[in-house]
Amino acid sequence: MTFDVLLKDVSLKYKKTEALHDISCHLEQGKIYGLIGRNGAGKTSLLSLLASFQEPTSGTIQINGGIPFDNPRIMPYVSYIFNEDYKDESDKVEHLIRLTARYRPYFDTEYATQLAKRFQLPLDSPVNQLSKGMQSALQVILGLAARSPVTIFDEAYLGMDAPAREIFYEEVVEDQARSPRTMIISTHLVSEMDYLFEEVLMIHRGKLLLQETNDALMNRGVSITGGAALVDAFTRDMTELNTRSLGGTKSVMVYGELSEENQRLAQEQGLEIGPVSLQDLFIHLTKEENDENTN
Amino acid sequence: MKTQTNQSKLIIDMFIQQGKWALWLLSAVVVLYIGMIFVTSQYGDTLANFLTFSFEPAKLFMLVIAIFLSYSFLDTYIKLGITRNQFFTATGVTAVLLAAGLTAAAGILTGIQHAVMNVMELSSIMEAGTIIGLDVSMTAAIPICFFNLIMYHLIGWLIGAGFHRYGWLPGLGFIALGILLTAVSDMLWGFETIEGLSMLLSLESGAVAGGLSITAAVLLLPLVFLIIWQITKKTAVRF
Repeated sequence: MTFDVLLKDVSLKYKKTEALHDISCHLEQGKIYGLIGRNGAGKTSLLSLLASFQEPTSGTIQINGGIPFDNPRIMPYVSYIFNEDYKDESDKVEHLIRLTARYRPYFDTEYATQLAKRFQLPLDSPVNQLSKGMQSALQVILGLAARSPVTIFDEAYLGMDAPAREIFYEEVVEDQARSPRTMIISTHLVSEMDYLFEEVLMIHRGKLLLQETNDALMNRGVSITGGAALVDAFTRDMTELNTRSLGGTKSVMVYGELSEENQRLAQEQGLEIGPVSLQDLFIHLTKEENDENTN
Repeated sequence: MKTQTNQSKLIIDMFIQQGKWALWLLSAVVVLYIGMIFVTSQYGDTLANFLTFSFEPAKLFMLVIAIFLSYSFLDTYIKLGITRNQFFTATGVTAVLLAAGLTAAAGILTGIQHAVMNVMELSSIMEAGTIIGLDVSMTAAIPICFFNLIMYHLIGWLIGAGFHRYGWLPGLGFIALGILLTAVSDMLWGFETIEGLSMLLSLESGAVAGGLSITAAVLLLPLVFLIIWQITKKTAVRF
């Protein structure tokens, strides 16, 4: 079975609001995709369609060659993990693990137990009595241990503290190596997670801005570091993404590839050229006119 | 292969969960009924048999648990990869099994009650006349009870599904539809429950009861079932 995900001209409307507009993309099996976009860009709407939580207004979605909505050959193999509200969930953690194991075909209970130990999650506690961070840990445990061929994490780690998030990132990398799946990670913690992504999908106002490999995306801009005056002169006619200064040293991130002429010039002037961060690119590409006015 | 297994797992899980609640209900009604026997025998009053006594609480139980099905079960199971179709099938099967279980339990307990009360010479306190509010025999009352419990479950499910899919304001319309269906069903069976509505519809309660109306009452079940499927098949998960 190949659990490729294919979207063709997918749109979604809520009454008069268009949440998604003509999204087309192809996600290959076995890769980790980062889905990034600003608040309200349509990330959750898009992911909920893949999980068959709702139907698109128009366009087609295919997973493993079939339409996923209410399809018993596909739905058990797609896990959508989101920041779920557990305030009414009085069952114990172990019950939720057992329940998920019962319906998810590839669920690994032993791995779930190991993860619970790693996250220090008490199995005998009622879920609604756990802290927000522990509830998030439970979510990611269920998502990882399900080993679904299509696994979607939609900001499920929001309540986790930095050390817990680090454990999650490690487990994503290690378990993906053991059991490759099509993993889609939606986040606004771009700088923290960008190294996990093999490809990045960026959406803005319901439209897909780009889908590129992480490496290709990094080449969309460069950072130039050196003496402040030299850097200012060198980047005068370039599109700045971000600027950092420390003492007399300045680092400017610019959008666009550097011509061979400029690369030679930078070398002659002793300026250091490096990659640009995904976060800076994201901020630049999704910048609104209002943002300019307020900055 | 795995999805077929998921369907049967779902039926088992939903039946066990709702069956546990039904056992609680039955236990509470039995305790209450024994108390009623004691009180009635003290004051020389008469008491309906257990089937009649438990009929109203059982209908209410079926209605109430079904109202919460969409909110408490549908979303949970879709999140676990169950389809709406599988959920719909499992809920339908569970409704029939629960109705059959409650009717059989009430019937058996009524038989035991008659035997025990005869031995204890308490048969004089047993009310003669109607069973479950109808002028029918026990043999006829059992299937009537069974079909009515299914109907109340379906009406509750219809109301819950309407609220779940369309929100609060249109949901109120589904309450109205539920009341109307209850009235029509009761009239077809010959029950006298919603007098006001019966008068509004210019139908005398029980007046239409007969072979034709009973057939119509039974056929009302698949009709309501079909309406629920139309509501459920495209419903979005609330999250």
